[in-house]
Amino acid sequence: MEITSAELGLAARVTNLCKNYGSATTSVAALDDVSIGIGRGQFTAIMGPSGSGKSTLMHIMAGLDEASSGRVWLGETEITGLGDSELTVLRRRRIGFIFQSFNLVPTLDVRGNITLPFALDGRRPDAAEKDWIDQLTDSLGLGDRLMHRPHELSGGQQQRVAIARALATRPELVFADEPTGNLDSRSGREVLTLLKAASTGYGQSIAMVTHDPIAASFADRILFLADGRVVEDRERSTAEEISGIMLGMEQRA
Amino acid sequence: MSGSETARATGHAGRGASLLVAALASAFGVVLLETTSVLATVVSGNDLSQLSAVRSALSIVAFLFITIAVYVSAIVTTNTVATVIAGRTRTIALMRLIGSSAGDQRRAVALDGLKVGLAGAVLGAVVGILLSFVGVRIAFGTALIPDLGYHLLEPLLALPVVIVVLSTWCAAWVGSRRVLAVSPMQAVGAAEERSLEESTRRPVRTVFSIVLMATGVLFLAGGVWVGQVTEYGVLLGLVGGCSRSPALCWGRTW
Repeated sequence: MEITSAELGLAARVTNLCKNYGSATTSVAALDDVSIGIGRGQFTAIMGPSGSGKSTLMHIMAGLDEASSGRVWLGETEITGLGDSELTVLRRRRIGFIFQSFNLVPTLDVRGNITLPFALDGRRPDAAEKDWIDQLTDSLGLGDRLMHRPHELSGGQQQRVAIARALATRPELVFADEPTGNLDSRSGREVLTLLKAASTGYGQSIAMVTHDPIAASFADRILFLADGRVVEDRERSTAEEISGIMLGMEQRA
Repeated sequence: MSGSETARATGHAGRGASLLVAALASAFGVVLLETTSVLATVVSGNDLSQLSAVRSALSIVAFLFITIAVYVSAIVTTNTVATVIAGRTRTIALMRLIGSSAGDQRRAVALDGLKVGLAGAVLGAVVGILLSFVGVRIAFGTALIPDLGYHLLEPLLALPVVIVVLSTWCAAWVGSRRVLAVSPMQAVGAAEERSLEESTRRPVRTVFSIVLMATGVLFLAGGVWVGQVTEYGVLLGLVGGCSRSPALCWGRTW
């Protein structure tokens, strides 16, 4: 009998994950036998220098890329080998995304962007979901911006819209890919505080990929990747400690 | 999924060009049929027994030109749609990423094509009929043609309209094939492996376009040969000419 993700209290997990790029002779291993779990309700940071495989790991966990070998679960669902249409529905209903470049739809206003996951699902938010969206937009300070287009907003505001969009469907897991990469340090800290609040306040599971020690210091748990392997697994740490670990990894490399 | 939402999100660029092309083809078809009808009436004069013979001869010519017009407009629309999609790859990839299926994205493009085709064809037909009325009036006025009671509003005029609508829709559908190749990964800005379509050399397409090309040449030759005997040989030539152009377009990536 296999252990289920729920028994482990995990929102997602991967086992013995490998990812190789290129053909047999020029093969490069982006991920080399990675096995991790993302705790339910936790804010997890995945850290590592560029080229460490952290983005590849996120893409595979989100069903955007296929692993060369190994298995991937989202909640109780094994997503290894699922077809494009099943993965599409999975992304629509059970996963939220936040990106470095915000990735809002420029022709839709703020409200349209936030309710886009519902529109793609061919339905309107019901009363409870509407309340939730109102609550989100209020707490994210977007209440008076709902009719604005993304280009009329600052970077920090755009990222807050993206956060609202990611949280609107109450997904099992939100993936955040360098969410502060395009922001000044003040709006960056704001965004991280909001993510942290979503995790502690609503029990939202979040997996954040970053190479910024300050961003990682907001997380409950930090996984360090180097050359496609998990090299450290820490509980909540300060930015100084994280920088120290990162420097140590650089020097050993 | 709501097609309107996707259409709103992916925008309506390229509509103008497709609309104009559909309208031109439809107007051209309508004017050609009107001209045929007027000419047939004039040539046969008051001798009504001659009317149908003259008409059928002129109809062949009209049919040839309408086919060519629709054919050209379909190719232009296909390429316009494909180009627009290439420019919107990032938005489409983003929609795919957030959870829109490739089929939904493609259907939105094709639906837009149907709407544009419908609007363009009707608009073109109205312009064509107006032009014909004005043309006949002027011809009267300058005593170029006698007053023989021309029928300028015939059910036959619906034919080019229907053909243009169907061909624009079809062309948008073919052109939107590219949507299927857009991967959600293109929205995250990550390096990607080459897609299957890029890395294979598409032998089926190559063979298909060679066969199409050969058939086209055969039909052209056949058209010339049959044309010595009967004027309907020109129809063979038309089929030949039409099948050669897509052969060139599809096979361009050999």
